[in-house]
Amino acid sequence: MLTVLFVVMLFALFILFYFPARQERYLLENYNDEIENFAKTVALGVKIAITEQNFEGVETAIDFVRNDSRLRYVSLVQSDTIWEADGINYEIGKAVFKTFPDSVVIDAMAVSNDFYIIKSAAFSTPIMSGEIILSFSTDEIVESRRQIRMTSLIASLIVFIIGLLIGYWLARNISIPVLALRDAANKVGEGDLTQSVRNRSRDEIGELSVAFNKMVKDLSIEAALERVRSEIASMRSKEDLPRVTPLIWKELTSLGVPFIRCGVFIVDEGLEVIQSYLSTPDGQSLGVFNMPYNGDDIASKLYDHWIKELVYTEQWGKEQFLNWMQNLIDQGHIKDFSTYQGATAPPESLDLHFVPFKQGMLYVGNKSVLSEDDILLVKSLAEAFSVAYTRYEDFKKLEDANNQMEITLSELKATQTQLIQSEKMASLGELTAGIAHEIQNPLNFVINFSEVNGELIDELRGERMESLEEDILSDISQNLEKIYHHGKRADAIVKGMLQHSQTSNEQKVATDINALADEYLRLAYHGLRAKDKSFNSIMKTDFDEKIGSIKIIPQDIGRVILNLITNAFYAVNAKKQEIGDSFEPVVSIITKKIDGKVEIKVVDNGEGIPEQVLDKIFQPFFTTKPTGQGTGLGLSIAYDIITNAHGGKFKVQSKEGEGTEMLIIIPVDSN
Amino acid sequence: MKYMKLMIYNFVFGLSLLVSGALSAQDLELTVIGNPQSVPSEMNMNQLQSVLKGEKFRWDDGSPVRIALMKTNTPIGTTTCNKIYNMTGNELNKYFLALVFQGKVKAPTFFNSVSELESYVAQTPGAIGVLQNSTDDQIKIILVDGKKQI
Repeated sequence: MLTVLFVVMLFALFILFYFPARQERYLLENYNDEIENFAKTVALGVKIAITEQNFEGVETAIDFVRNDSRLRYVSLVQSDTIWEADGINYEIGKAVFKTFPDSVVIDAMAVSNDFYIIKSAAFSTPIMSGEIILSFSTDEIVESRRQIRMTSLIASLIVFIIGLLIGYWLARNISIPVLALRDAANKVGEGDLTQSVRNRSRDEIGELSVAFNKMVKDLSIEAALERVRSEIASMRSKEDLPRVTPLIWKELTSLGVPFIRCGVFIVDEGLEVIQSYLSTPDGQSLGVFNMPYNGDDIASKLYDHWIKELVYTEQWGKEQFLNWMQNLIDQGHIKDFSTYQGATAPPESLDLHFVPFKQGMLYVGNKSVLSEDDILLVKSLAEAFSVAYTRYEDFKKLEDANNQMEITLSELKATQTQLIQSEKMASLGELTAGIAHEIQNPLNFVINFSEVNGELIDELRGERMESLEEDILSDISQNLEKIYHHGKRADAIVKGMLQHSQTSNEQKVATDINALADEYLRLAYHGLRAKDKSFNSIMKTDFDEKIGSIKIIPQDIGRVILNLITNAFYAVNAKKQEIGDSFEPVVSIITKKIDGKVEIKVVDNGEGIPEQVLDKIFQPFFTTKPTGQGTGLGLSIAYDIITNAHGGKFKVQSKEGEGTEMLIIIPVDSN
Repeated sequence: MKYMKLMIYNFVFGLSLLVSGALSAQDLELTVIGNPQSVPSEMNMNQLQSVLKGEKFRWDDGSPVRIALMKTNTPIGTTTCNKIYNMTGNELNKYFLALVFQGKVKAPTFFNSVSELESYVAQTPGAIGVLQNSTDDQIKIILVDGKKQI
């Protein structure tokens, strides 16, 4: 705008000053030239008149000059050579020959000034030389100059006014719209997407405004969709859907789509119903009900349009709306009019718009028909809602799967407990023979010493001799001590057996690991011997006495040691049966304390573990034993006890045909 | 010597030509002619001089006076200057230049040949001219002081 004013001012000043000055100068130059040409013409006429005696030229020229109103005078000045007395020097004297008008007395030496212009043209003939002096008034020039200035002033005023009008027009049609566009663009840049520029002109600015408005509209749509997508992305459970749905209506409102009722219609093809969730734009529920495909006319139309992915519209009057409500009440879908209509009175006119998406249709009810642009916006949001609903369904499936998984996990845990118990019972079965053997010995002592004590008491009753009584009582006392000792031993064995069968309470207690290993070695050996009399094996022990007591869960570690020794005996026995008597089975158990760790190593020279199954031996239910002889859980549970319950390590070295070395490392510090 | 004789001959011949020319000019008889229309058939010398000096602008019938003269470098022109204007040729030129310059008179027309002059006078109403003699039927001879020749 200021540029335009500046240009207009510049142009007006140009017309006001420069243009007239230029014109005046041009005019003056032309005037001078014109007068000079007159003078030359007259001079030429004079020359021809004198030399050729042809006076027509000078007559015509002089007539022309004489009739010019600007003429002050025209004078013919004769130049004469005036010789001095010496006959050598001379001077040119000028004398006025004739002047028109006669009355004018001229100065042959006069020059031009502001009031008149004087021009002369020389001529020379054999009989006469001189010059024609013409003097013209500048009145006409002054008048012309005044007119030029006046014209320039008027022209500059016109230019200025036209310039102002153009400036106003430019400001109104370009500057103001451009500034409005700039301000709107700035606000859009700051995040305000409600900006719109009003310009109805059909020029480029108008087109730019339309393009800008469309851009802002697109941006606001994209922003609205982005907000919805963001909310959808923040969905963490199916319960978040009720939070997302009102947002869609809110964004629809913010995008300027008019509506008074809205809803989500989900098509359930399994149940062949359309689930309807109607609400007000602010999220207040108006009704929730199911419509069978073949129920109402509108339901079947909705289903047909949904299948074809078409928008369905219908116009209702007040009566149709009331009939529809009555129909819903009759079917028990809604309870009363006031809640469903969502207002004090039913709408006089209602345009229903159903926009399809993957899982159903988005319903927008308005007092008038929505424009195509509005329908496009609803479509965009319907697609966004579709994504949200897909997530909702995914979450629902995930939740169902999660619930199912938890049930399965619970069942698995129960099964695992049961299996562990079975394994315990299985190992207990393996121990039973050894335990029986172990208990049999003290029981034999108890029985034998009890019998001896009975005989001694009978003997004492028969022969009452003081010296003998004392010996017999002493023997009885010793026998009772032995009975007590072996009874206690049997008691300990039974308690140990009970402990083995009990569920671990995971309480670590200080335990003599060497004694524990020795006891289970013997139990395992006697157990196998009890089942198979032909079984035999050399048992070697190498216990590090420095270990002392360490804190472990004795039942669990005992179970591990028993499992390893049983496996070792099984391996050497298998090899013995394969090779025969030439093979001498040896099973060793070695303990050692190294750098705060206790190593328990079970070594056998059995048939070894094939390399291809070596990495599977700790997997649950993996066993190389014939069906019915192993649960496949022994080493798996042992591995779990050592690594998880005691923070230790379990290492295996085996060579097929040469034997196996199982190494347990239990950290003492972590006890 | 021979060169001297040639110079003398030349001088004598030139002088004789000059004297004979001057004498012939002085001796020429002039006749005043006019266009049959407007120009009166007779006038006295003063009237003739007044007309030829441009002092009379129109004839009695209102037609403009048109003066036709032989150029002053012709014998008739020279004689005309002497007998009628009492001026030399240059003086006549200056005379008419002054009048024409001030717009006081319609400039006379000067001719190189008699026939041109006669033709001009015959065809131009109001035209009056001076020549030695004329036999053109289309023009009329004006008596000056009752004489055909002056």
